[in-house]
Amino acid sequence: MAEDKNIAKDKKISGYGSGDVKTVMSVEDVAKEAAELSRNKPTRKDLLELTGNDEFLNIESLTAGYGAMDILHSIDLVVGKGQSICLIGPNGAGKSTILHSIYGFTNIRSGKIVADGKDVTRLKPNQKLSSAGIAYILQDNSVFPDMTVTENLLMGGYLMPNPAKAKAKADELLSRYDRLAKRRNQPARVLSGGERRLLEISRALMMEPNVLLVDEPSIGLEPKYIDMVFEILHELQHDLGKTIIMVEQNAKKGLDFADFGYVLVAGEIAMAGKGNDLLEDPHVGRLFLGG
Amino acid sequence: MNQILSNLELLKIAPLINLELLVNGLLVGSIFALIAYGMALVWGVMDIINVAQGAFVILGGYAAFYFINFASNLFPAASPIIWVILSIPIAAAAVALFSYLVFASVISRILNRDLFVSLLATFGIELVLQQLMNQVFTAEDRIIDSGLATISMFQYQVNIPGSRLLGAGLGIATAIVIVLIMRYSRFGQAIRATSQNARAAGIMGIDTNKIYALTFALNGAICGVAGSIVAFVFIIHPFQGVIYTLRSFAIVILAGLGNIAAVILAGLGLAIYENFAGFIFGPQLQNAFVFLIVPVVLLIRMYIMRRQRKYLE
Amino acid sequence: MRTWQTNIATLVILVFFLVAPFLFPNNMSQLSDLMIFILIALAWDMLGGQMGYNSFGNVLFFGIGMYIVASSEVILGGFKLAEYTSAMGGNQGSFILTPSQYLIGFGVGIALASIINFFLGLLIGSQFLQMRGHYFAITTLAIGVAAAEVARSIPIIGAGSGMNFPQPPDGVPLFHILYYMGLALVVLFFIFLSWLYKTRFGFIMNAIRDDEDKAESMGLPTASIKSTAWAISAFVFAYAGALYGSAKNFIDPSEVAFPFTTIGVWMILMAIMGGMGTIWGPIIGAIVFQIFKELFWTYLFGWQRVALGLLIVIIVVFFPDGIMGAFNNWKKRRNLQNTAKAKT
Ligand SMILES: Nc1ncnc2c1ncn2[C@@H]1O[C@H](COP(=O)(O)OP(=O)(O)O)[C@@H](O)[C@H]1O
Ligand SMILES: [Mg+2]
Repeated sequence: MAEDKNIAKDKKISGYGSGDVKTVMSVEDVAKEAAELSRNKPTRKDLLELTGNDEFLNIESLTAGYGAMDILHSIDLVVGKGQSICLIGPNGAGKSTILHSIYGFTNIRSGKIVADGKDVTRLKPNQKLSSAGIAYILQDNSVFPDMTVTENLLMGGYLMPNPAKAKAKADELLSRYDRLAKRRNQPARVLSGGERRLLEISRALMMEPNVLLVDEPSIGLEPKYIDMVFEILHELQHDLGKTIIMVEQNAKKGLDFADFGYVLVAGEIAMAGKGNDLLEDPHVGRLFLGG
Repeated sequence: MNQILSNLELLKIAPLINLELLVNGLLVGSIFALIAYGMALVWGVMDIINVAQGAFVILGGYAAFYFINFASNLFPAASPIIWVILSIPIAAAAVALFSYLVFASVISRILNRDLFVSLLATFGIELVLQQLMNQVFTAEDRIIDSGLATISMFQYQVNIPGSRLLGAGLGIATAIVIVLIMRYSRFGQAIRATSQNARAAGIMGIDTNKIYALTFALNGAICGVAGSIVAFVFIIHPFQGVIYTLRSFAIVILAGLGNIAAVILAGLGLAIYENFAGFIFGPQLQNAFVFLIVPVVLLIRMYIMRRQRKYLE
Repeated sequence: MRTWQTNIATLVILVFFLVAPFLFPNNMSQLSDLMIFILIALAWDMLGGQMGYNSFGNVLFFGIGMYIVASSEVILGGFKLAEYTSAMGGNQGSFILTPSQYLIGFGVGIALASIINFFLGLLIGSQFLQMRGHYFAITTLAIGVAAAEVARSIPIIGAGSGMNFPQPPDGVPLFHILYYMGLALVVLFFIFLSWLYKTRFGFIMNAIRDDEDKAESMGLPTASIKSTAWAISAFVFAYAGALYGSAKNFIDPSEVAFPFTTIGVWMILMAIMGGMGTIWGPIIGAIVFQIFKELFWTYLFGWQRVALGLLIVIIVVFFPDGIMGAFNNWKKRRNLQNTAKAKT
C-alpha cells in the first residue's frame, strides 16, 4: 500500500527535474539500454578502487527482499568513511530496498553487511540506530504532524537512555538550524516542505549516526528547497564527516552531489563510478538524464 | 404525545428533577467516556474499529463478579467495598490478557486491511465472545452490591446512588492515569508517534507491531476497569455489550479521534442527553435516541463538508 | 465468459431448486430460508461487492417489509391493527382469516412492502450514500440498530413484545408458497443482475467501487446510480423480509425484523464466503452458509452461535476472496500452465 503511494508520487514529479525515464524513452529502449549498461558490471575490486580501499560500510553479495520474494540479487556496495554515494535507477529497481536492507527492514536471504568492521547483517532497526550508528531518512513525508518541532526531534532520540541528553542534543540541533529553532514550539504539520525535510534530517542526527541513509531527499520539494537540502547534506558529509548513502530520482543533482554513483537495474548493480564520470556516460545520460 | 408534554411540564414544575438527571448523566457519562476513549485509542492508533468493545467490557464485569464472589466467600468478614476496589485491577489484567490473545490471533492479521474488514472481524469476535459468555456464565443478570447507599438530597427529590458516585470517581481516576501515561511515559510517546506516522516511528527504532499489541491490550485493560465498574453500577449480562459498543461509537463519532478532552465532553454530553430524552420520551425510546445520534451527526457533518466540496471519508 | 458449461450448470441448479421441495419435503423451512439468504446475499453484494458500499443497515428494509406484510394481512383480513396487536396476549382465536383473505393480504402486503421500500431506499440512499468508506458502514450499522429500538417503542406494531402474523389458515401450504415465491425472485433477480452488470449502469457501479472521485470527475451520474442501486436492493430486502417474517410467523423487533447480529452480518458473510463482486459468489455463499448453519445447529447445539461467530472471523481474516476467488485463482493458474505447455 505504502509503496503504491510512492509510485504515484514518483509519477507526479516527472514533470520537472530531469531524471524520469518514462518521459524520455519507450519501454523497449530502456530495457535495451539497461542491458547494454549491465554488460560490464563492476567487480568488487572496481568498487574498492573507487573508495580508495576504504570499506567503512561494506555490503557483500546481498540477496534480500520482502516476504518470499527476492528483490535484490547479489548486491555489492562499498563506501568509505565520510564518503557519499548516490544510487540511481529506474522506478522499482530496488534502490529503496537497498536502504531498507541496510536498516533491517527486509528479509536477508544471503550475503552480509558490515559497518565499521562490525557485522550488522541481522541487527534490527532499533539496534542499527542505537548501536551501529546508522540512521534513515524516509522517502516520503515522515514528520509527526501533531508533535511540535522539538517533540519531533526528541522522538529522534527515542532510543537514548537519558532524556536530559536527548534534550541537550535537540537544543544543539536547533541552534544549528535557525529555521527550525524559530518554529520549535509549532506542530510539524504547519511547516513548509523544505522545513519538514530539514526537520527530518535533523531528527535523524539525534542519535549521532555515522552513516545516513537518505531516500530521495528532493522528492516533492519546490526547486528552491532542493538546493538547500543538498547544501545541508553536503555540510553533513564534509564538515561533520558523515557517510551518506542516497537514493535520488533526480540523477543529475544526485550524481553532482555524491562522490560515487551506482546504477541499479532490476535488483542488480549494473554500473558504478565516480559521480562526475557517470554524469558524462552516454548510456546513463540517455537513461537517466534525459538526453 | 400527552405523556411527553406532561413529562416536560413535570420538568418545569419540579426543577430539581433536572438536577437529578444532570448529575446522574454526568456520573454515568464518565463511565461511557472511559469505554469510548479506549475505542478511540485503538481506532486512532491502528485504524481498527473494535466492535467487540462492549463484549470486552462485559467480560471485565464477569471477571470482577467472580473475583468478588470468590474473595468474599473466602473472607466473609471484610467489607464488600474492598473487594469492589480490588476487582478493578484484576478485571483490567484479565481483559488485557484476553485482548492480547485476540490481537495475536486475529487483529495482527488485519492491521493493513480495509477498515470494513476490522468492523466485520471484530463483529465476529463480539458474537463469539457474547455467546461464549452466555454458555459459560449463563444468561442470568449479575449484579455486584457495592454496599453503598443512595444519597438523597432536597427531601428525596434528588437521588444519587452511591455506587454511581464511586463508579464515576474510579472512571475519572483511570482516565487521569491513562492521560498521564499517554503524555509523559515513553510508552505513551511511542503510541502517539505510531498513530501519527507509523513508518516514521519504525525508523526511530519503535517496534510498531509491539506498540499495536500493547495499545490493544491497554484498551482491554480500560474495558476491564469499565466492566468492573459496570458490574456494580448497572448489571452484567452476556448480551449487554452492544449497548456499550454503540454508545462508544456515538461518542467517538461526536468527538473525533485522538482528543481525550473531546471524548470526555462527548461522553458526558451523550449521557445527559439520553437521560433527558429517556425522561421526556419514555425509557423505551432512550436507546433509539442514542443510536440515532450517529447517523444524524454524520449527516450534518456530511452536509457541511459537501458545502466545502469535501467528502466524509 | 458465459460458456455452454455454465449454461448447463445453471439449468441443472434451476431444475434442482424446482424439484427440491419434493426431494426434501421435511426441510421446507430450511429451503425457504435458503431462498431468502440467496436473495439478501445477492442484494447485499450488489452494493458491497459491485459498488464498494459496504452496508450493515439493509436490515432496515428487511424489517419494514416484514411489518408491512403482517399489517396488510391483518387489515385486509378485516381487523383493526391496534386491536389485533393489543389483543395478541393469547386470544389469537378471535382473529381467524379465511385462506383467500390470508393470501390476498400476503400478496398485497409483499407487493406493497417491496414498492414502498424501493422508494424509501431511494430517499434514504440519496442522502446517506453521499458518505464514503467506513462512515457509511458505521452509519448503516447504527441505522439498523436504531430501527429495532424505534420499532420497540411503537405500540401499534406490538412494541417490544413483537407482533404475531395471523395464523395461516388450514390448507394454505405456507412454506411451499414462501419457497416458490423466493425462488421466483431469485431467478428474476439473477437474470436481472446478469444483465445489469453488463450494462453501462453496471460499469458505473464498478467505477464507483474502484475510484469514485475519478468516476465523478468523468461526469458519470454517480449519485443517481448509487441511490437507484440501493433502492433496487431495498426492494429485494423488503421482499425477503416479508418471506422471512411469514416463515417465522412472529416478528420480534431485534431478533427477526432488524436482526443486525444475525441476518445483518450473515448477508455480508455469505457474499464474502462465496466471493464478493461476482454474480455466482453470493449464491454459492448462501448455499454453503446455510449448510454450515444447519450443521452447526444439528451437531453443535448450544454452541452453534459460537461456531458461527468463529466462522465469520475465519472467513473474513483468512479467506476474504471467497470460493469464487479461489476458483478464479485456480483457473488463472491453470490457464498459465496451459499456455506455458503450449509454448514448449
Ligand atoms: N514493503 C514491500 N513489500 C513488498 N514489495 C515491496 C515493498 N517495497 C517495495 N516492494 C517491491 O520491491 C521492488 C523494488 O522497490 P523499491 O526498492 O521501492 O524501488 P525503487 O526505490 O528503486 O523505486 C518493487 O517491485 C516494489 O513493488
Ligand atoms: Mg524508492
